[in-house]
Amino acid sequence: MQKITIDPITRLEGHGKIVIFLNEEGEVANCYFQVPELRGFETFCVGRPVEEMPRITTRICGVCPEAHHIASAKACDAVYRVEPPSAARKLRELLYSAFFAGDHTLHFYALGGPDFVVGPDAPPAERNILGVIKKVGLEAGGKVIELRKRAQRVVSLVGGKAIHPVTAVPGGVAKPLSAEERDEIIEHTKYFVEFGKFTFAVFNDVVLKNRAYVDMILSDTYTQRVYSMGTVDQNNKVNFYDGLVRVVDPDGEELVKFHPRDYLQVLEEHVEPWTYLKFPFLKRVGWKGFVDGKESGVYFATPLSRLNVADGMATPLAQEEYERMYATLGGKPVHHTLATHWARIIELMYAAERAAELAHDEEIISTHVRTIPTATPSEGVGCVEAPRGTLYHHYVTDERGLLTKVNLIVGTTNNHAPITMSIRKAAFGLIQRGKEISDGVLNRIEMAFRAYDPCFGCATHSLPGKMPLEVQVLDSHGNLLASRKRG
Amino acid sequence: METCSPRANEAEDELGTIAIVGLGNPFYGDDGVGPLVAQRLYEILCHKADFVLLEPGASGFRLAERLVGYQRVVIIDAFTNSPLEVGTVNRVAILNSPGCSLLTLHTVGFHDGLALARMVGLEVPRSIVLYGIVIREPGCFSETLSAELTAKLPQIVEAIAAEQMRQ
Repeated sequence: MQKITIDPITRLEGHGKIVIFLNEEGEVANCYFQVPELRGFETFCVGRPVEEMPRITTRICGVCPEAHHIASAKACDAVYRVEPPSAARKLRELLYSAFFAGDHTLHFYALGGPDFVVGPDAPPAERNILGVIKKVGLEAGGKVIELRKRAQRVVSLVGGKAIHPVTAVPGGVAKPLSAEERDEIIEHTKYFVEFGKFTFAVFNDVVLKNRAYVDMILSDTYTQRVYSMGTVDQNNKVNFYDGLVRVVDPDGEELVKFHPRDYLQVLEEHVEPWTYLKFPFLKRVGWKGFVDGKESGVYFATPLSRLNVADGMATPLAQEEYERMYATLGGKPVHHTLATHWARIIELMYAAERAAELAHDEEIISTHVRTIPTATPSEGVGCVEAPRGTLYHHYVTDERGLLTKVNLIVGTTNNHAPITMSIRKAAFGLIQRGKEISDGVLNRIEMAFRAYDPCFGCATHSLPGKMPLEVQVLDSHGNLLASRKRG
Repeated sequence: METCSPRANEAEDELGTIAIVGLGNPFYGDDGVGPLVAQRLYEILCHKADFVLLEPGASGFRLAERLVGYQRVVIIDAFTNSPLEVGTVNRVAILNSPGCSLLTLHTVGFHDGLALARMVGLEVPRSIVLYGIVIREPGCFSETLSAELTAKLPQIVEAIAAEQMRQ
């Protein structure tokens, strides 16, 4: 038995490891995706006043504090059984849409995009955002920086801080938006929409016009038929902030649509001995192992799954591209993992258009932004669609509002099983007996999970100069046959 | 020692010439030493020059974006993989150039962000110094530092402050 280790995965937020075992013949025998989970956060929160959670949970990681902030605030609303005023809900959604626009931009241009724009077999040193900008043009670099800056500015104006927002509180938000701030935000959202159009053009020119890339997206190596999960509004359109969670089967038929507070009736968690991370699955279908198909309860929760469960997008330009994607890829639902990048930029456009809609809504500057909670606190679930999947915050408190139980299911956790399966399938498809396991092959395996944009809050550190990627090949006795490091 | 209160953390309009940045999670025990030392450094140094305290608590790319426009940057972070004694301070001058992809896991993407800014003509810091404070892996969430590190905090702050005042 040989073992290939890719550790840590490059261009991931956090620290993960892929281990691929080869048999005596040099073919893939098995494959594992491991995450050194940082446990104990829920326990750390117990005993604290629940209203502190929207600020504490932003510290879980530096990548998506806004998602935790909003999900947590919604959980607090539920704990106090308080309905935020309409303006407060819109302000939260405005903040969240701006965050989504910035986050999806970073993924497309810095994390996922290099594989397509620069090429999956390009030298690692060139397969980064700088390589993307060199290929697409310097103008694109300026646009990316400008978009990110404006998105963070909107988050700062609405959220009080650019990185760890503080505005959302039980029952609403802490501060209304002034007319001057609203006017500034309108200008930023115009830029968001133009940037979305620009990104569609980049994707069209660089990816869709390259037959080899389209074939790669459609290839069996990057395809698995599992259930899709995502939040939809009352019209079954994609919604990041609020709605019901919908699950469709691999053929696109609705399995269930549920209120997030009922998530425990729908989801169950499977445990494997080789990882601390659990594998959520659909309780009604059951855990059948790491297999796809209608009989397996494995589901995914990503930009692509969100589009799969929805009947469309709620804004015009995003809807136009949504229709084009499904027409190009053979109709709904799509199970090609790499198509997630296309779905992501469709969501980027939706976030841009939705932010613009909200900024133009007269109610957005209403001063009625909070309903003061008066009920005795008890239990509540808050849920949003985070960029990386459906995010649940579940709190239980005593009558004083002190937390007695906390449970979080984060976006990446939803996708642990499908990520593992995607990597296995890519490894089986790409590593062949007698053929060199090149850097390009390893990168193509990484692409199988990079599409999910997994995020593991970082908690460990390494000294400067350490390479972020190490590949080891070991024989059946554990002897090192070859190693490769890159950074 | 004369001190002053932090001014407008993360207020985007308050760009100074020197940014002090504390990295780490304040809820993860000794991992939070970066923000704590940065805060104390700022209180000492803010009268000496145009220092601004940042506690971004963000990943590398976001951090780089926040540093555009500053002339000099002092980063305080924690190192867990050093065999040296807890509290030892490693001073590392960061080459402000593309190709060096990793400082700490908090800063994955940091160089990409800076290089991108430079590529499109934005002003990036001329000097970046990272002080890595040796800790042991905390292993659990906590709002307080270990007793061992707490005891060494004054000398850590003093040493870094003294060096910065000589700059």
